[in-house]
Amino acid sequence: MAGQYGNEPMMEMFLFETSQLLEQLEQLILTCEKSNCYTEDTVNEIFRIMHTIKGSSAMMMQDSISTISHSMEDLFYFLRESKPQKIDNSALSDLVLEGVDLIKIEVEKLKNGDKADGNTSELQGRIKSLLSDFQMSNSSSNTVKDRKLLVNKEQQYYLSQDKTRINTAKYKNAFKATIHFEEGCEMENIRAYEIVHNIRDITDEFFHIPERIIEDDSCAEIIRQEGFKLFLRTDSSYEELHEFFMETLFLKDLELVQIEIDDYYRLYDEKQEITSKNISVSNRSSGEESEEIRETHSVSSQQNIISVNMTKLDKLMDLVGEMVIAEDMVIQNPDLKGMELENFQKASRQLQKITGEI
Amino acid sequence: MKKVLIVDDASFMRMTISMMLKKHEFEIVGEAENGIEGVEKYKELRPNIVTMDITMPKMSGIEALRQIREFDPNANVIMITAMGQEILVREAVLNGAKSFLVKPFKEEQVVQAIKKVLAIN
Repeated sequence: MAGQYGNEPMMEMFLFETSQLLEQLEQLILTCEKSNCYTEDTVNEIFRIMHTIKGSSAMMMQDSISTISHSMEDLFYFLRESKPQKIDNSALSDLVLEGVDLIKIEVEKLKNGDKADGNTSELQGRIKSLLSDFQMSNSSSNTVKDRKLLVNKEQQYYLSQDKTRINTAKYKNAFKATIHFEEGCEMENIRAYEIVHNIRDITDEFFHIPERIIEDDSCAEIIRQEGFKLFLRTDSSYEELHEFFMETLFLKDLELVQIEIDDYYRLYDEKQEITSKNISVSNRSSGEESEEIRETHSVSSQQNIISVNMTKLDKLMDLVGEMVIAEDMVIQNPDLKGMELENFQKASRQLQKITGEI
Repeated sequence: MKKVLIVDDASFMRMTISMMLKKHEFEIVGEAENGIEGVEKYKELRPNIVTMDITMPKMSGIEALRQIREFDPNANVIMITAMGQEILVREAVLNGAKSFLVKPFKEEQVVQAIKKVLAIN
């Protein structure tokens, strides 16, 4: 069988596995059709199959297969996360089977040595339309409307807030780093987040542009175009900091400059002003002028608001406090004095990083 | 030769990563098709680095990462992900993943990522 499809073992394996997954998928859909019900396990399994086909076809540069499997993955992501009550099972099964048929045709073309160049836009449009129907008919329930919304909802609890002038004498140096990532590395905003996460080993006083790297997907594009700008105060030297940044994976270009401490705060103020203006403009354009004054006072007021039971919040605060104390008791434990515990120290640093974020 | 463990539910992905790495003098000491197997093989084989898919049956890549890091806080794990999984990637970073690769990635990207992680650690 080796070499049967021209592209050698990788193509062979891709076609073999995709065909197997499609068969599995068909069986699952037929079972659901019979029972007129999509169980949680089935939805998870279909999501996983579509995710696998999407990833593998993307690796093989098979866009038609990747596009359709991506659309179906989105559909089942919604079903998995939102668990909607009102679903037209029959319409869902029909559309998924159509998707399976289309992918099968594309797979056949590849097996015959032809190009998989099928037109997916019509089916893709209908999948999107079914997804928005599901979203509309389930919008009153406490569900997540789409993946983007889920990203925002989940991430609002993890906002990294800029450090303000807590203590101007705390660190002696100030730096500005502009980081460009290699083209095609993808998820530049999450790569920037990795840097922010790791910089906490060096300092707790920093801010960055763009600011909402986790909450706002468009930051990936901004970072791609303009780079990720990180301003920080630290006791580390230029060389130490340079070494830190050079460890960044997919780093294309680093511009690191030491700046005056006054400049650090001036830039911080400028950033705050720009952020506030942007929020005002964005609100004005969406017809919410009345909110402008309140929102320009604080960046954080732009974030989504959730209701939290005060008793639970107090308890959570207490637990966090206790956790930090317990952490200190473990890490600073006198029994450990003089002992060389490299792994323990690394684990402690990780723990401190996480509790620091909490 | 540095030892690599590949954890991915897709045979195609395991094969692709394996073929890419073998060309660059890495030894593929094991493969696993879900998180549970991945953790077991890590304990048994003690590789220098793991490539870990995020979405897998039985045990996800994130949970496997947690368990591996619990067993070995110095474990080098690179996550394999796809667009749309930003939240999970962030969770992986918080749980000690050394980096991540987004599908479709190129051979030089996976090699570069692994070499850099190993050089740093």
